[in-house]
Amino acid sequence: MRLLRRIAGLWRNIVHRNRVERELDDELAGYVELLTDENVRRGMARSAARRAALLEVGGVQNVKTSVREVRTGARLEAIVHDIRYAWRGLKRTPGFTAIAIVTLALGIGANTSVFSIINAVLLQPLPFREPDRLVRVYERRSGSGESNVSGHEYVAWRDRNRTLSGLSMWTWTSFNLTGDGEPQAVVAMQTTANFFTVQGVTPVLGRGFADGEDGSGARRVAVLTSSLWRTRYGGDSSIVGRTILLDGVAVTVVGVMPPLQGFDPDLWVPMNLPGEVLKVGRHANYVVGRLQPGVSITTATTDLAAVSKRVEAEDPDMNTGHSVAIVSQYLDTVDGARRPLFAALAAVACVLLIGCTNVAHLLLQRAATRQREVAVRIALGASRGRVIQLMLAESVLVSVIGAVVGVVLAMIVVRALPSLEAVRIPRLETVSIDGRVLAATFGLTLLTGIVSGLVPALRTTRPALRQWMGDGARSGNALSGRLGGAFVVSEVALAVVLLIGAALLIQSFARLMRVDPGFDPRGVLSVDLSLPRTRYRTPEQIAQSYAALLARVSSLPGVRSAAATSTVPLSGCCNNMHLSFEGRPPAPKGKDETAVMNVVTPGYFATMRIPIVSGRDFADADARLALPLIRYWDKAPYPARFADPQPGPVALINETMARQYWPNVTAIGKRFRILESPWITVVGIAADVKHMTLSGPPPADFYLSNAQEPFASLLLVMKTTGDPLALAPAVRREIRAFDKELPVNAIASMEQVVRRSVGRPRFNALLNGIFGGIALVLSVVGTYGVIAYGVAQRTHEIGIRTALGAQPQDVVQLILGRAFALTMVGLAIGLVGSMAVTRLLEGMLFEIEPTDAFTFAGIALLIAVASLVAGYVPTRRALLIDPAVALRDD
Amino acid sequence: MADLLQGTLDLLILKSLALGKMHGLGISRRIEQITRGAFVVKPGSLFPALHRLEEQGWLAASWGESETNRRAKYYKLTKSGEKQLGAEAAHWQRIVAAMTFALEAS
Repeated sequence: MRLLRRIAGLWRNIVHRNRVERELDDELAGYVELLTDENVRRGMARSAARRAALLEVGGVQNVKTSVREVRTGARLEAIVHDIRYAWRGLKRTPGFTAIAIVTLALGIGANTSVFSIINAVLLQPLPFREPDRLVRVYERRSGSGESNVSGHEYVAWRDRNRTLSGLSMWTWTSFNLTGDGEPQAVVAMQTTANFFTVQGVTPVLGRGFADGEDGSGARRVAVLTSSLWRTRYGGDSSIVGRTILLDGVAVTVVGVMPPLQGFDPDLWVPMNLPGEVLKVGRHANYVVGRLQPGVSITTATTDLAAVSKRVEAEDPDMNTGHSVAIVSQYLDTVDGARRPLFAALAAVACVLLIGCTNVAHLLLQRAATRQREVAVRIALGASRGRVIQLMLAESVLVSVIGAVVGVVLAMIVVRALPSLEAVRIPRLETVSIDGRVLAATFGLTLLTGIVSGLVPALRTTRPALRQWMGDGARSGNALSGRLGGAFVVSEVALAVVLLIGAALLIQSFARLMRVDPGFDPRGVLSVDLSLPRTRYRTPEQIAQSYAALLARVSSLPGVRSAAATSTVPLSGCCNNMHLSFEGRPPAPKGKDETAVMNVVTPGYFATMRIPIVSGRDFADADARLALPLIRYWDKAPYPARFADPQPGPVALINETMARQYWPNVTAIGKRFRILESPWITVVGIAADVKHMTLSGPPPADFYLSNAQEPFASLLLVMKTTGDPLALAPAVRREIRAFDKELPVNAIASMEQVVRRSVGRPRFNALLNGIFGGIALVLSVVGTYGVIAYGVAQRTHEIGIRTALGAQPQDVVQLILGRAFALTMVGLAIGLVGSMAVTRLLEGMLFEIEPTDAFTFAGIALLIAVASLVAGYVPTRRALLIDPAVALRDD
Repeated sequence: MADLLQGTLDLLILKSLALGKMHGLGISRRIEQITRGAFVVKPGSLFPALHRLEEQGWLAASWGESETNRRAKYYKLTKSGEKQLGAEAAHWQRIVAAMTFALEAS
């Protein structure tokens, strides 16, 4: 009711402004007439009566002004007026306006971009029902941290817990999708039937998996992601019920699911849970759980740990030391992205602050020229608050225009983000400039306008100054000089912190790039393949097919050598296996002896230029009749022809594994076992290769021959004579000629793989480098502005000094000395600040201390040089001052 | 008394209109009369107050003819204005009582 009336009043006052004003005129005129009548009745002459009446009213204009001020919307009207006034002022000084707008557009645009990423990656809840209750469950082993889960563990947790309302397991796999067009390699999640229920997603079409579809003899079904559904099947809703061919097997599509953030498969198929439970030694699964309402992660961890304890008691051989670790699904998804994103946010905030400081100084200079106008306004009765509001309107207007440009910049940045896939920030593809981002930007814009405008406005309207100000500008020198100095100090300090942070990240990246990956990526092409299990059923077929494929591609012109491997370096994957060693008691329970398994073909080490430091490479003669070597549990059957005479099992190991398991003796000729495999003899030691990341130490690695332990998914690697990627079409042709239904998952040069592996550090270095660069430029421009303005104001003083015999070096000292001194103070504060701040970068740095003395010294030198650059032009101008002219001016 | 306490003027205007509608000058004279000449309200404070009270919905305005046949804007209390007068009067009484006690205390 009340609000309604206010709105009605506002409407009337603004829309029917003229009528309202006319009525006020009439009312006041009527008042004067009535008063005149009254005076006449008291016996005054008509003209005297009217004069007396007007006198009593005391100025019709003043009365009208005070009536206007109480009207609803009076403030709004004043603001509109101020903005119009500010707009005219800005148009008069296009140079100032352009510089201020560009400065703030950069600052606000950078902030909007970074905030839009933080908004999408960190602030949005995961798009699942009650996402707070979702947790990821890992196996925890004393010593080796979190690892994947085996089927029997999952079933134990699922059936015996008291804190979860659901627990689901999955593993990653890939299929060759054929029929309905080109063969396509698809990434699939093989899940338990309850996966979608636990995860809390509803299908956009059809259904998820039904109970029992994860049984061993169940009907074959699949659920597609909406993206695969759209791209391959044109979003046709008759897809539900249709059959598709996965590795040549007919599978019925039962539903379509929305994209699941944090997972990005092409489709889902149920796993064979009973089969998975049998493979006790295979820890290859992921587990997601849903907490019961009100249950904390700590409580659930205690609960599942108790279950693990009981499992351990029941079968100590396979489960000793295996406990549980639970993290929220949110943290599991976004954790690694938090630190770099907050570091970036801090950096852009600094950039904006430096921009604000620059604009504040520009405004201060303008305000100095408007001091007389301000004095007149105040003399005419404008309140100080009103004048401050008028001046703030200008800075807010500048920052609003800057923000509009900034948001456009941010839109360009956001559009370019998906191409940064190598950065591997989860949910980066969902970044957009939404209402929340715009609201934050709007708030930031107002804040920016007020922050940059407030100090100049307060200074200009300071009452004491006005009183003492004789003829204006010069008596304000000392104060505005001090303020300008404070601006320089603070922006230099901020720039120093940013630059040191950026320099540390850039050096980290450079050092990372100098790390020897253990192989030579130059000229090497890698082709990711997997042979569909339905048509390549036996290990023998798989081994022979890769041999045939390699024979084809190595005959291509331009290929020097070709081989295949289960893992290319720096692809960040690992296949950790349990080992036992001949002539040594088994490791104590819970202290597992493990190493990472790789399967390669002969010639792999030569193709990748991985040195074999002793012993030999695999040879064709190592091919065995009984395939494969590894049995995953003790009751698994032996392969056929196991007892026949044939080459013995052999392995190469890396230097780390040799040091770790055979310290002080040569490892060549020693024997070890993988789970339930026969004894495997070490025949060679290869140099360490960075399989996971460039930054970490390599783990213990061993290599098996594909002719002894065939893998259906291998990558072909080829050393080429020219540009490896130029060979890609020919390689594809050869693969199609071998099997036209065989999909190629990915083709990349090894140099691309190396670059991708450092995507995140490169992104950090690049981003902070850009921000540091902007900060440096802005602070140089700001310092220049302050010093140049100082020279302009002190022309008179410098003239007198010169006239009194000051030498050029005195003038240089006066001007350049000031620039240098202010910068040094800012530098000192910045260096101290950096010591405190760079600690936060610790996890993002590689082989460099957050307080690296060389970096600090280098940035200090850079800033010192920058201050001389900023002071150079003003100093030259000061030197050219002609005392005669300067003094005559006054 | 030149300076009216904030709020006093509103109460006086509401009170002066309790008997019926009146134009600006009438209100001014009426206040002078009921306060026995203690308060003389100048147009500079009267009109902003009238417009404020009107925007708050306590007064309603209409144009009419004065006793001397001049066109004048007449104000009268609205329903909520009457309620406001009651509330403000009660509030004022409490202040007066409290101040009286305070000043008479030894």
